[in-house]
Amino acid sequence: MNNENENINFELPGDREGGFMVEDTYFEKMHADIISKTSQNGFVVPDKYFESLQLKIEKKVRPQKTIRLKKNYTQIAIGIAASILLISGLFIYKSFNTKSQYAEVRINELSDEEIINYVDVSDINDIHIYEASVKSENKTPDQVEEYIINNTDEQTISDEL
Amino acid sequence: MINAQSEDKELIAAFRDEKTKTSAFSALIQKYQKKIYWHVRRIVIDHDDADDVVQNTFIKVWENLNGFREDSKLYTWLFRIATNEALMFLNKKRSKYHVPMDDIDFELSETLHAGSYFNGNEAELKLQTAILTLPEKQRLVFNMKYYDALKYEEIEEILGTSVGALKASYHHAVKKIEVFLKKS
Repeated sequence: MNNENENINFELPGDREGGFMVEDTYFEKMHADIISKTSQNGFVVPDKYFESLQLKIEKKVRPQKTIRLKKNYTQIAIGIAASILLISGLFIYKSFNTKSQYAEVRINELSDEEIINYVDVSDINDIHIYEASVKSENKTPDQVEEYIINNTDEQTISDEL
Repeated sequence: MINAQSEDKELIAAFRDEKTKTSAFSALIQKYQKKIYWHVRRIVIDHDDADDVVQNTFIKVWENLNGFREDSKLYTWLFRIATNEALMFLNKKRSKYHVPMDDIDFELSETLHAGSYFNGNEAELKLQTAILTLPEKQRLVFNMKYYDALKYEEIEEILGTSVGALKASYHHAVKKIEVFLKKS
């Protein structure tokens, strides 16, 4: 029994290829063939090309999201511009009205004395006063002439002419 | 569950259903992109040109698959679109640069020799150069028979040429390549 166990791991005569022959350059050629097939006959493709190709194609066939985004952006821009114009217009209008009202308020706040002092009396003569009263009383031109002749001196008339 | 291993009939049916159209298309791209790419690449030579043509091919597929009558196999239909797109691309190049038909093949050969996307050994370079000397139809037949390993009946569906004419074309192509390689 012990003799059988000792004989299990013996070496077979000859090499492990079992005497089969191959030409000298066989394995080099086989290596080249395998390489050739994996690189598709010399044509090389960039790394991870096919992983990205699918995404590129899918983006091109389904561009809807991009288009919607562009439309919204344009509409938003138009809306903002219109709003700015509207607000500016309202602001300008309000500002204009405010000045007029402000002027009115200011005049209303003035006392008679301030108004009188403001007005230069030397610029006013009997003709201006009568014209003002004629406008409010609807007097005729003949009546105006009569008043002027009766109530104004010659110097004043010649200055006016 | 639709994926790249699904049968062509399943892919077509899933594409025609709006709910599964997108996933079916993705599966179709995964299944055929490499075959289509290499077929196109051997026609146009340059990688970037092949990239454009392949994308255009799949866009056409997306637009027209609903109308596919299934009177041929799906992949022969895909190959037909890809072949037409590649040939249209070369024709556009000819008309854009006012290049005569023979000179475009010379230009493709120059691209092959100068391009950074070719690292084949001398034998492969000679073989590709020899293939580029063939007339366009013979080159297509040779590539589809030798590299794509398509049957003559399948090439007939793609090119619309009879099996007899295809066999003759392939035979002439092989002879011309042999002569070229012997001379060089």
